[in-house]
Amino acid sequence: MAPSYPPLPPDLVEFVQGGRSLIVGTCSAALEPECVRGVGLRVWPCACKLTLLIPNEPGAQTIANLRETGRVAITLSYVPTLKTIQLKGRVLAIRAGDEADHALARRYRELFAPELAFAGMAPAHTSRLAIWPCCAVEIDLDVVYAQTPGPTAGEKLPLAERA
Amino acid sequence: MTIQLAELDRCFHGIVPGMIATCDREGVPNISYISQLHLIDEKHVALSCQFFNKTRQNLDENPLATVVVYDPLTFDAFRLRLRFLRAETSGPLFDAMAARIIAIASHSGMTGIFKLRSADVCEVLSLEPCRGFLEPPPAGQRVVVEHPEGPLTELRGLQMVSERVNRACDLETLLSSALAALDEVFGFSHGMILVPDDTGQRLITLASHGYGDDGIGAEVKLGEGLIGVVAQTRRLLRISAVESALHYGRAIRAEVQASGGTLTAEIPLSGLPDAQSQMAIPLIMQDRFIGVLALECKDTLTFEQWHEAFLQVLANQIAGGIDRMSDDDDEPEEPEPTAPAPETAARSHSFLYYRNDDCVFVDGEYLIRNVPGKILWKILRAYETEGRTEFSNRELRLDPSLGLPAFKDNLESRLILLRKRLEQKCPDIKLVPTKRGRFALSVSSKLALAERETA
Repeated sequence: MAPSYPPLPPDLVEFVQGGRSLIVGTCSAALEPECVRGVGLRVWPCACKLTLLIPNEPGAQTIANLRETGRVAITLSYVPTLKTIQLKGRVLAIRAGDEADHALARRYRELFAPELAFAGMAPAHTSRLAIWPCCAVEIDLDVVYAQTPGPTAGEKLPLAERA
Repeated sequence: MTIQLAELDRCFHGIVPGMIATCDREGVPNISYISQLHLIDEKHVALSCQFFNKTRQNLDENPLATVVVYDPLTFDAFRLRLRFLRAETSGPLFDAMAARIIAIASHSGMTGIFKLRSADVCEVLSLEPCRGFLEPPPAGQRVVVEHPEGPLTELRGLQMVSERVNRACDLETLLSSALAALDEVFGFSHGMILVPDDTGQRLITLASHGYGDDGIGAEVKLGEGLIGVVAQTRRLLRISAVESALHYGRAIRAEVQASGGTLTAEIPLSGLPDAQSQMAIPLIMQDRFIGVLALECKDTLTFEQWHEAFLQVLANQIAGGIDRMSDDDDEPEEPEPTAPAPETAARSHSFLYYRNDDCVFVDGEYLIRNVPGKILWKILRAYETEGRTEFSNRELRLDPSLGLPAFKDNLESRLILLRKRLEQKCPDIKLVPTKRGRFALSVSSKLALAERETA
């Protein structure tokens, strides 16, 4: 399938694959919203597609919604500066997480703990964030918005030129 | 197990920001962080809307939302299913939520830019823990959270503080014993009591605890920072995770600056530079603003919701005490003793009085101004020309040049401030209370007095 949206620029690719605070929004067909913490995000080489990891138990409703509607919103924030962006996209596939995904989730949790410590959360608690078993949700990127608190929150971010 | 919303108080302080999911009528989801979630009652919460954002647009199209909040001590997560009911743009709820934002905006130099647009009231449809969010603690480890001892214990504490306040025979004792007792009984280690100055545009610190002597006389402008906003709105304000709140404010400030907005300077915190919890309570008597009781702490979660009620009771008592002791306390006039002034030592101080703003400097350093400045100058002049050392509140009240109001003149507060400022800046000169309504000037150095029209 051809990329449907211009790719993420390199700085945003780096940003979203760090230990950012990662939250995921979905809704059911009956328009009931749901939110959950994601536990890892991988950008595909084309930079137009993503793999999002969602833990099975706390994310059960989210995964059900994704199967039902296929629409997802992902917000990532760097806690020390509150630089925040929101990605929106559509689900391409949902599969059980594999070993590579498990490794990504473990790495994510290690990187996330010091960022959340900036908000005062003890790393001992963050290290208990449930990451496994998880689902891997493959997503086609639709659009990216600035969401750092302030008057420009909600503006579309410029993306890279398509190769 | 059923959870009550009130049990989640510490989750609502924004220490670990919560999240809110909404969707529009087409089913496009949106996920955002929550800056402030305000508990109204067991069935209702309010979201703060500072910018007309996607969350709010979605709620107008589809009133359902899901919020997750976090316990800042354990990282436990709780899910609230909400239905948006209405946006309030005035009234007590709006004012209470706006005051917090005004205070943060003021400290961040964004007064008028960062402000509450509406308090978005939501019905809580359900509340549940997010199961499976955290892994169990490692074997042999337990998550221990210290719980406060609770209102019954605190009620006894309140009784103790109240008794001390009631026993005080003069205003200075009342203020210092109230702040000391709050520390002793509740562990509120840093406190200030501020009163309005003669212009009504500033507050002056009349008593402080935990800051050393430097706090006395410190000024706060009406409407600036937490204390100034509490004075202006006459509304109690509690901010936990002060650094997080300021951090949020600074993030917005950076965005406003980047988009070409004009901002004013940031205002530093008025007390502890690293305060993490602050609470300020207006002191009101009948409909008159008496001052502000301000407390702060380096711990993030010192002040909880239930503290508000009992500190309000105590604040009422302090306000009543200040008001009562501001009444005429004069003894019948007695002949002035004409004892010669005490011998002065070799040390000397130069006092300079500026007539245009009643400001007094000592040895080139600012000492005091306004009515307390005029009182000091009257006393020093009487000492210089007549050798007088004994004075009465009554003669000050009857002196039209001092401009004291006929009713509730706060003379006692002004004398306390003057006495404390002299202790700090010029300890050779003391105002010593002798009996009710009278005081003596004690001087142990040479004085040189001069006046100028303006600086």
